[in-house]
Amino acid sequence: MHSSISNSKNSNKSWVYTWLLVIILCVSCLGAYEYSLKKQGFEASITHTKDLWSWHRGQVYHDKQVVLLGASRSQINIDMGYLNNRFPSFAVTQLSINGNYPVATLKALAKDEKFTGIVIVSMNAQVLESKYLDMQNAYNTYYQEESTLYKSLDAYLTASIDSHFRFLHPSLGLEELVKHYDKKKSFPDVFYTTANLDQSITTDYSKTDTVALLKHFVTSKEKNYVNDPPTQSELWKPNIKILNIAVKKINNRGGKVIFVRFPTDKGHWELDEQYYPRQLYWKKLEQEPLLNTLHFKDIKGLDKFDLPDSSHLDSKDAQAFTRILFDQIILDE
Amino acid sequence: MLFNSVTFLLFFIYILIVHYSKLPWSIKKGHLLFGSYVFYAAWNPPFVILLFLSTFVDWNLAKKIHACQSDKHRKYWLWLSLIFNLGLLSVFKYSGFILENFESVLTGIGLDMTFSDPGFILPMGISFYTFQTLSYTIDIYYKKIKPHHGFLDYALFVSFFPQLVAGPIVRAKTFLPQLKNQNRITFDVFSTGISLFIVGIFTKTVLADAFFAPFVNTVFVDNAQPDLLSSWLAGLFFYGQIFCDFAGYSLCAIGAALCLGFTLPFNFNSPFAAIGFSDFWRRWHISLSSWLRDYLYIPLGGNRLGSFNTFRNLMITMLLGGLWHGAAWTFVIWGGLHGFYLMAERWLKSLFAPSAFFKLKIMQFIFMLITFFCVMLAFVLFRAENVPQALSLVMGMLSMQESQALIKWDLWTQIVVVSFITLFFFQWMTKNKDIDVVLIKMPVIVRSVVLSLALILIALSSGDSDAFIYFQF
Repeated sequence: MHSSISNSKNSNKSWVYTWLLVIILCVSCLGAYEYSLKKQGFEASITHTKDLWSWHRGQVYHDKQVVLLGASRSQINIDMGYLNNRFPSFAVTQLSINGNYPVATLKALAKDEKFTGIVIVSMNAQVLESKYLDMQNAYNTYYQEESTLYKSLDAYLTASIDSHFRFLHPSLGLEELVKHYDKKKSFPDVFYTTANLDQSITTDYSKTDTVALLKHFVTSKEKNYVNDPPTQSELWKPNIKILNIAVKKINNRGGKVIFVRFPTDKGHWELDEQYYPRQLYWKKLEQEPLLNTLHFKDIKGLDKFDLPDSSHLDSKDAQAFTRILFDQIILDE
Repeated sequence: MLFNSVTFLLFFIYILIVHYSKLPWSIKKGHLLFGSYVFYAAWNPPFVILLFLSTFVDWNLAKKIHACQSDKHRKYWLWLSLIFNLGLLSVFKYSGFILENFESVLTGIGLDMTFSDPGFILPMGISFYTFQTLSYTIDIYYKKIKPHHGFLDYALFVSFFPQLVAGPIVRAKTFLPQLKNQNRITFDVFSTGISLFIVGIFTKTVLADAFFAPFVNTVFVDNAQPDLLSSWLAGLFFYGQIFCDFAGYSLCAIGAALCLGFTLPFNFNSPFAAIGFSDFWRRWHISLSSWLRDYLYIPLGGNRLGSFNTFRNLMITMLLGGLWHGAAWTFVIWGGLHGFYLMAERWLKSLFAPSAFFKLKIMQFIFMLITFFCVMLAFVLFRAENVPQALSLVMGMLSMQESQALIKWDLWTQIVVVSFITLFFFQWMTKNKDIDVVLIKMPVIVRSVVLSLALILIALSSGDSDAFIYFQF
């Protein structure tokens, strides 16, 4: 086989021309597409996968380590760049997972004998409802049982490239473009969130209809509370033991855990208070001697930020928010 | 390590840099061997021990076979090689299946016994490299080759990373001679290798993963009752998916090997355009079908012992070929169906003398369509997780059930259908040509546009990508 190759009369020249043309065509087509996406306001955004999360999960063993746990509030409101600049001797790792409450990851870190760092957990009363305790289990099980160095390294390298080019986002790929055009006869809307390589998320609410978004968020939260009504506070309280056990293990190894109640506003906070009154639920956390808690209502300035969708900051405010929050959490240099 | 990953790209660039350096050939071969083990270890490091064990045992058994004068003793060492390799396969691949069926048989005769699943992880590519090492000992037994190469050369033959985990299954007599001296790699050859690699990645990531797989995954689910359109599209698209997935991998392997100066045999040759089932098996997974022909069908007697024995040999070969693909009855039935196709074809050929009528282009096209649909139907069994799921799809194809429209006839579906038809006619047009020849003979402009389009579509199809289907075999 390949006799054609060994006997090929094709000159090197024809291949040189081929590759030159390929480079010109690819760079010009993809470059033009990238430029048009930039002009429309798109930012390069990656996909947060279990493999990428596993990569970051494997990086939490620095001598001076801070790990951020939670869901989207922690991913959006905390400015990773600011933290890295302010605490250069600390390694800060974001392990929050969008849409998933963090108890499973806290338990996994507590179980991990090698982990000795500081954990900042985005917390609220609903997190301790039994049905939400295992939300991040799938990620932790994947990390323990399926993740390999190759898979997580590859996810990190792929995400590193994706974080530089807008056209690599799946929603801007061929299939999604065709489907979107077929359905709405238009190009996809500009994303107001950007998923970053470090697992954080950047938001720019000027790119979206905030009125509709706010309505969507508050309505969804209300529906969630109605469909899954809170457990009575006395029946809810035993789950605090799960936190105590985890915190004790981490403290015993020289680490520290701080539970932070991130702000909500514009109808969302009222719903939170209606279904999980602070005095009945959060107060019980505060009364636990082992647990360090911070509530946004108690920290001057933290409840003054605008939350366009009732739950998250615009990224232009994330640095100021992070500064105020970490003024409270003194990281001992 | 997946070919369609950034890590592989970096790994391959590193391998190429060392390979094109001025180091002695023996060092470069040692480096290739080391790289191949790293490539394999990326998936699951402990299994490199199994790879080494398989290599080491067969290397020594082959030497024993060659050294023996007595046929009895030669046979004894060959049996040891067969038992070792097939034993490895049985333990890691078939133990769960065997126990499960043994349990069913016992239950059937009234003995209620349960066995726990041994839960072995299937080592990636074990079916490929055990067949490769087996071919070495069998060839030495039949005195087709001599074990005159060094152990490191032999180890590289078994573990050469482009073809290690999903073939093509290479024979020692075609690969080992290439290790004697380093082939001069011209820019033409290197460029052809890179082009084949790009076409392979395009075939896998764009056609198999982005175009066909989502439709197939929508329909092949438990308790689905697909309607006429969904059933036919799922059947056709799975044939497209498995071809593009596996042929894509093979092209990547051939391209990567070519960049390193090695030629591997083509594994696919326009199977959609096959006229008849024996022709199909000359075009589909060629390295496996020729392995089964040379090391199973012919030793069983081939077609030399009368019609009945020929049919029996065909059926045994195809049933075992089906089982090679996986430990499930659906694979066995798939193999059996192909055995039946081959027997039917042979019988029909014995009834009708060759005539000019059958050679008319229109008749050839009709025969091709018949072959295509029969093969597609068999692949429904191959993809289905169980027989009822396959039957549900076939019932859907015949509109014989209350059904669900699992696939919508929208713009994206139409684009994928057009792509499938293009692929079909491309194979019909190039049925007697190798893809490298097609690429080389293209005018520069056309070739540039084709490769650019492939690269652009690869970039625009990034996102969820599946592992190669044949890795699981």
